[in-house]
Amino acid sequence: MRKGPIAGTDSITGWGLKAFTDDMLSKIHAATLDVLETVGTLVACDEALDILERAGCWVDKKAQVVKFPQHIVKDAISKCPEQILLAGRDPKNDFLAGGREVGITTFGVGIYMIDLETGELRDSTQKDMEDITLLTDALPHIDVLTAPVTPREKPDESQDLHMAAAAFTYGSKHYHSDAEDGGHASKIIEMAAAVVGGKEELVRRPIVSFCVCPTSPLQLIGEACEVIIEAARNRIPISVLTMAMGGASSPLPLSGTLVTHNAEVLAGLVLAQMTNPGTPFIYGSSTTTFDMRHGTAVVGVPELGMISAAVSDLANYYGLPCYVAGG
Amino acid sequence: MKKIIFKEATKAVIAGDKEKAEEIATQAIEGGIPAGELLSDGFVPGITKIGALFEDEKIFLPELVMAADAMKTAADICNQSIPTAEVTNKGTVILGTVKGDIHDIGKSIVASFLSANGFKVFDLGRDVSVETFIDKAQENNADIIATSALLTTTMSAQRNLEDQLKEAGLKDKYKTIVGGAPVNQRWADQIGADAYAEDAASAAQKIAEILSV
Repeated sequence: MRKGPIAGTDSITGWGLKAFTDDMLSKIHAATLDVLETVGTLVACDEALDILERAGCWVDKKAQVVKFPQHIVKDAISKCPEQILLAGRDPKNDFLAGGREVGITTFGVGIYMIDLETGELRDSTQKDMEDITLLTDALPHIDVLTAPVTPREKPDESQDLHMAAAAFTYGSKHYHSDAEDGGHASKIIEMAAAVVGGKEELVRRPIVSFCVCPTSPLQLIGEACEVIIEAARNRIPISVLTMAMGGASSPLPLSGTLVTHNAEVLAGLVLAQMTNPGTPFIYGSSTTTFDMRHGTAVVGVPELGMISAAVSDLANYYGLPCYVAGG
Repeated sequence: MKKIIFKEATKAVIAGDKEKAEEIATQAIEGGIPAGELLSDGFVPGITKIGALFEDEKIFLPELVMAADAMKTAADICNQSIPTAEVTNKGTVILGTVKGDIHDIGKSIVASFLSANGFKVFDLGRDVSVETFIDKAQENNADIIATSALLTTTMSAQRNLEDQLKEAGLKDKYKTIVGGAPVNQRWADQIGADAYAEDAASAAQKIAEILSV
């Protein structure tokens, strides 16, 4: 089992960082419940709409808009496990996510590489995916492999499958996978099950987890819903990771961004728990602010760090493991 | 007097002042200033200047959007007073985010900036199939088909558009321009698109170059 330091706390001096007081967290939470109940989110997937309607959400099937009554959101949060085993193919690389202990992962789904030999910028390849997996395995401070680059020479339709194949073949750490849709998630789960010796064993020792992104503001596209449902049915850990851009796809004030961000993640959480209660759920964030001069997302600004610190407090408030961008 | 009004019109667009632009356009036309002249010598220099300022990183995106909004309001008022046949149209653009992709913030900014720059824009929205792009282009006798894609997995639709245009023998009829976060000039060259634009201002510029207007 891998061990990490405690979040936001200096282990020697004991000084720490806390973005919010409990009152402020309650306020963000209350505003989120209000957004979920009165505005709702787009859920562009018929199966997800059925699941949410059966669970008691208010569903407008024509508009594909779901409004979430407060008690259902609270109920769903209470169903999430507080600690999640992110198993390595090699048990010595197991990572237990949850509490305040921090692990480090690669971030991913990059599409370019600076070539090691020539220094040139070029499309990333399957070989890059394999090399990064090997490197991640060798680096002692990295706990989990997040799908790093896409093999651009492979067909668009199967890149995520090739990535998973490389991760399972070349790596012995947990693989946080990308999946295009439910069908692909199912195939990747089968691959992982074949590695560990069956689907039951995979539930006990999930060497793979999935990550999906809502489309801000307040939209869960069909493919994302499918992956959440597929992961939940197989009890594979799922992270719903919002990448809102404050001032572009979410409100300009960071507090407002945090509210719509939170609403998107919780909508995914409700879908996962209503599909299969107890599904390991990871609260995700790569939310940042928007560069108004160049018209692009900036993943490295102070606001990203502030949001990530705030998100970690929010996840802790809900008793959920979280996955945030480091910039 | 005319010169002062034109100057004010330019200023209103640069300031992104929609009400002021509306007021100037309404009063000038009531006062008998030809709408065509008001546009070309008053408002258009404003939006041209804004495009240049954005390219030079002197202004921010919200200022570009506000200026485009002011320009559009003024242009609508001017165009209403011009007989339909004489309304200047720099080119007809079919625009949308490709199939499978619902990221449309950038695309919408491009749409408003293009129409502010005198192009006739048909914004088909998001998740638009290649067939719809081609049908709408045929229907509206378009000059340009502009596609946006934010995902590496949806970019391929831009290639499909090129392939289907070639197959249908329409490649020479419509010029294509591509944009979106993972898209670059190399991708445009690779698939055979006529141009790539990084942002709204350069989209207007590139399309004007292609059509030589």
